[in-house]
Amino acid sequence: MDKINKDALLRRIQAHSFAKTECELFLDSHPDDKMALDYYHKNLDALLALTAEYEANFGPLTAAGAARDRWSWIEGPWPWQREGDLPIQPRSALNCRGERE
Amino acid sequence: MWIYEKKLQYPVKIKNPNPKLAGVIISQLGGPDGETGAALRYLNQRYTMPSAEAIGVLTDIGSEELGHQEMVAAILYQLTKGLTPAEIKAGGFDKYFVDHTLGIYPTSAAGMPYTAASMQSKGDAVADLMEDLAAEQKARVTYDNILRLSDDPDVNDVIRFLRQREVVHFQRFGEALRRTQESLDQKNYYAFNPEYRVKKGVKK
Repeated sequence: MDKINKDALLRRIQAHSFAKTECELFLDSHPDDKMALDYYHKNLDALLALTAEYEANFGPLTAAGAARDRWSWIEGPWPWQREGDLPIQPRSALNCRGERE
Repeated sequence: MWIYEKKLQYPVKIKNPNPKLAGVIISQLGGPDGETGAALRYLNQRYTMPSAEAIGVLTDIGSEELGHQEMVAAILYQLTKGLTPAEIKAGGFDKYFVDHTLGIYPTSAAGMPYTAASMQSKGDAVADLMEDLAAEQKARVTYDNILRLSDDPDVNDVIRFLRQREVVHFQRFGEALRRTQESLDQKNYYAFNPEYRVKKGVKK
């Protein structure tokens, strides 16, 4: 998958995740609101599906989403690093010249 | 981004209130070597770390420390729940009570509110990881001291768990420091300031 798809997918995850957080806050003070509860679950279901798709293609969003065959959790980039920054990779993933094998 | 889990990392079930003990354990919430400072220290240091291992270890230990903050708060809550004014006075908890009632407030046992002046984020991987190693040892000593002052088995069981985590974190930070130093420019013999590298072509 290309870069644009990765960013677009992450953007959708952020949108559903944010909507879910908003529902959580609202439901905390309105626990009997059925419409908010339905909207919460709509966003939760979308979030779970998109997270699975993202992690299968682009790497983990939580440590539990790391690959089974190697510890991909610590592989860069981390969320605060920008496009141009060289991702900081684990030593095991680099050759002696500091390049990705 | 963080997600809250509605569980403690290790169960806290204390049968007997004890304001005197709460008054010393509170240092692990808001004292100089407490869990609040640990979480803030690690989570702030990680951004400029030059190695994936160090970023990973700081992220995950920093997150675990937030859980430890909750465990210490749970101990304080259970040790002080339902205390009468007479018990509060007899236990020397009146000086805390007058400002915070039985609310949980991050302060040292001596009454110094939590201050970030007790921690550092130096922007230098070697300096920061060395501080983290020291921080884990200092927290371990504080838990040792709490065990010296406490004879409540319900409390001590939790304190021993938390003390053991300091030992494990010390181990992981030691490995992160070693791996970080191994990945530095080998000509940088003294490994000074590996996070701040502006020389062209060397920046990683």
